[in-house]
Amino acid sequence: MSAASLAVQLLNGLASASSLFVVSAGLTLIFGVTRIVNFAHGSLYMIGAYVAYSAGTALGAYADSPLAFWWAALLAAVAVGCIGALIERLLLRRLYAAPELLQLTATFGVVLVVRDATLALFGAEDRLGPRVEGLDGAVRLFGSAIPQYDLFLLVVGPVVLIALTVLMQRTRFGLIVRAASENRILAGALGIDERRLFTVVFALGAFLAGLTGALTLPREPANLGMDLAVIADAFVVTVLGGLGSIPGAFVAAIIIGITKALCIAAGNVTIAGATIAMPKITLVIEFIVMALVLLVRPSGLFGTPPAPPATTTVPLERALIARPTQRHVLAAVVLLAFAALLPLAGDAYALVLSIDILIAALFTASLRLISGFGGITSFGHAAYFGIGAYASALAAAHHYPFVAALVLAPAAASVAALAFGALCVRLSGIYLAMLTLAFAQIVWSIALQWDAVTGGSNGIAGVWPPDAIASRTHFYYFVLCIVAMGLSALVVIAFTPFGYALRGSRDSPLRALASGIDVRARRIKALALAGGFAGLAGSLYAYSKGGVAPDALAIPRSVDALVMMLLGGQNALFGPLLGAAAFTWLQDALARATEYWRAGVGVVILLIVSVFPLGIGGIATHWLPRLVRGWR
Amino acid sequence: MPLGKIEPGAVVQALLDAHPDAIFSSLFGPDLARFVREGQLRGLFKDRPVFNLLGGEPEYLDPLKDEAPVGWFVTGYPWYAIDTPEHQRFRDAYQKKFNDYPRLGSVVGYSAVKTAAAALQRAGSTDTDKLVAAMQDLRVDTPFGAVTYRALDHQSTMGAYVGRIGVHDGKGVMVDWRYADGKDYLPPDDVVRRLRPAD
Repeated sequence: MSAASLAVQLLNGLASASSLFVVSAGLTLIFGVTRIVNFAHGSLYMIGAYVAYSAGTALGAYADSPLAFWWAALLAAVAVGCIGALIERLLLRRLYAAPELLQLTATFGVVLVVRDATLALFGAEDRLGPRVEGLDGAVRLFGSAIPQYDLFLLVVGPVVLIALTVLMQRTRFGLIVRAASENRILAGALGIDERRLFTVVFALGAFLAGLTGALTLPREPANLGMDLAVIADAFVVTVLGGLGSIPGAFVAAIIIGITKALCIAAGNVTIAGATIAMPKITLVIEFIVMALVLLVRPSGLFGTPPAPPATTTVPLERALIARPTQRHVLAAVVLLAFAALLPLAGDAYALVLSIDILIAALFTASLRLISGFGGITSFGHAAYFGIGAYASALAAAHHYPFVAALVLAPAAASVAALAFGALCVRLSGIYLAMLTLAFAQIVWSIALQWDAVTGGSNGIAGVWPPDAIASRTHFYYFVLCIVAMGLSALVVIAFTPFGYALRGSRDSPLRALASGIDVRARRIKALALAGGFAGLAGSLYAYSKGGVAPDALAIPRSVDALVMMLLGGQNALFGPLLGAAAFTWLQDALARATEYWRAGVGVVILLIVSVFPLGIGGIATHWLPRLVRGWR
Repeated sequence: MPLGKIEPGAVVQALLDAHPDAIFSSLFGPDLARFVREGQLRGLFKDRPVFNLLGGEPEYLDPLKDEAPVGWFVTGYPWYAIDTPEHQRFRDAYQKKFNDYPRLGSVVGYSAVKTAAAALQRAGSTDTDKLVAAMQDLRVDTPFGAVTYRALDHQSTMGAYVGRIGVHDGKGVMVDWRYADGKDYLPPDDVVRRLRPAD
């Protein structure tokens, strides 16, 4: 590669970095003040693009003005700012005191609702905006044609950085924002109206997201995949730069933008005889960079380490679950008897659905061990589910016996979880959550791109259980046995000394350490156990579907598990089963009834987090007795 | 390139640096639009034939409007110009029901459901083995004409419309197209047997 084309590739990287910075600046600004990691930031970006398209088309047709695009972009940014303020007022305001798990999940609910609202309003077709008049040509630089618009984007990032820096350092508003980021309670005590500040900051962050969405329009069509595509990048940039740090986001965006461009420029590289297709790595390179940086600097490049978690009162959602009583055992026996009789009903579809529910319940229960009891928010639990599924599928494809393939799954997933745990044991809170996401994305892209072994996007087919349990009914009984044992084991674990120590470490790491509990060791052990059970669920999944594809370990599956856990109720003994049953049934019913089932699921998520944070199980154990008492 | 995440500027520049004689790709969706815009600005397509599978499908061609890259060789679906009786029936029924024109996805989805129905009818049961047997050399009428599911490798003989991109009234269209029947282009039987040895 010549020096000239290297220079051009650096320019390309910087142009992409510039818009990546602006969208990430909004995300990091919101986090700095409200401490909410806003999953819906990508959705705001997407709305910006669609509004700018519609407004641009309307204005351009109406006035035929060369400025139509700029007016449309401004309009879109302002509109998205208003939508952001609305979301803050109606939803997030209720959640500032809630655990971060609920906050993250709530913003994911917004993602689902916005996705379907956009589909309904703008249709499924991609919307490619017109080119910007005056910036629609190319300039010759370093012997290559460079689009003028890229050069414009190159300027936008630094301009926004300077504007935000002036706003933060030189104005009274900036002073208040900085004060509130540093100490919310003290700022409130000094008479700062926290509620209004939060709304304004959220609107400003949303404005930046909308602006970036609009400015992206001349380079790519507005489309329904923009939200999740940009949010992963923006997360990486904000975490890499240090949550809450605007200069950090700027540096991180440049690192990511340039690394990606260089990977594409490098083409196939041969290192020690092995050929690596560098362009393929762009899918994960940002996650690898983030993981490496977090291992060395647990708070990102410019972030300050979070205050050590103090002894806090245990929120209701996480109150210690009660030891199973005779009544619980009785309920379990009745449930099991009912499940055992189900095949007699002769409804084949009910059996298929029940198998799905059982597998989901085991998966959810395994997540509860680390996220519920261990306090480690995991956004990548699907990684272990998928590793288990792939391990079994690969073993089956290589003609290993069924039992070996089944055992291999939890073993492989457990080892992966152990390795992950050993690497990131220093991290906690939101940084750890982001690293779980990064790990899942890396595993996902390996499954997607290593065609020779994993079958790429086609996955592995032809994975069926042996003849003895090949019939639907037999397989159902098999799954029922395994899942019943798995769920029981996970409940027993919660009440061993290990389980108590784990929950103690969650609620007060300091006090746990002082009592002689090795908090890190407990967490690693919990990760390995949870990974193993998730892997077992994944194996059953592969056998029930006859194969596995990369979607087994994609982000939505991780989120599904979180939603099922919350829906069932974190502190309810039967929570995972209740959550899995309700969620699977709901998704199935909605998908058959309407094209807009995502919005339905999103609304359910929003209802849980804002109205029923205790989930179905919580209603049964907490509200019902109260109601009965009040009635008496 | 990772699906849906193409970095258009960097990719186009890397292609320019490689000085290819021609370009073969199967980009679609937002990736295609990004690539077309960036490639036209940077002069990638000048004097260079481009073969892009799927590029003529209305799903991906229509968003490009008058920027559709004229002269590209593509596969697609010229729904406005196919006048075989079976396709006309399908198109008229589709437009009547949905008040919109069919996309290639509409044809594929329709044919898939028709196939499932035909297989069930022939098997007379939902039993797996009977369904497998019913699918052997199953013949199904689709909007593109009759297709067969070959017993040998379970591939259908549904073909593709192959042509070049042109622009007409500010919209991308397919010109000089013809239907390439799948039965003439699938690998011959002996090749299939070599690729898929019986277990």
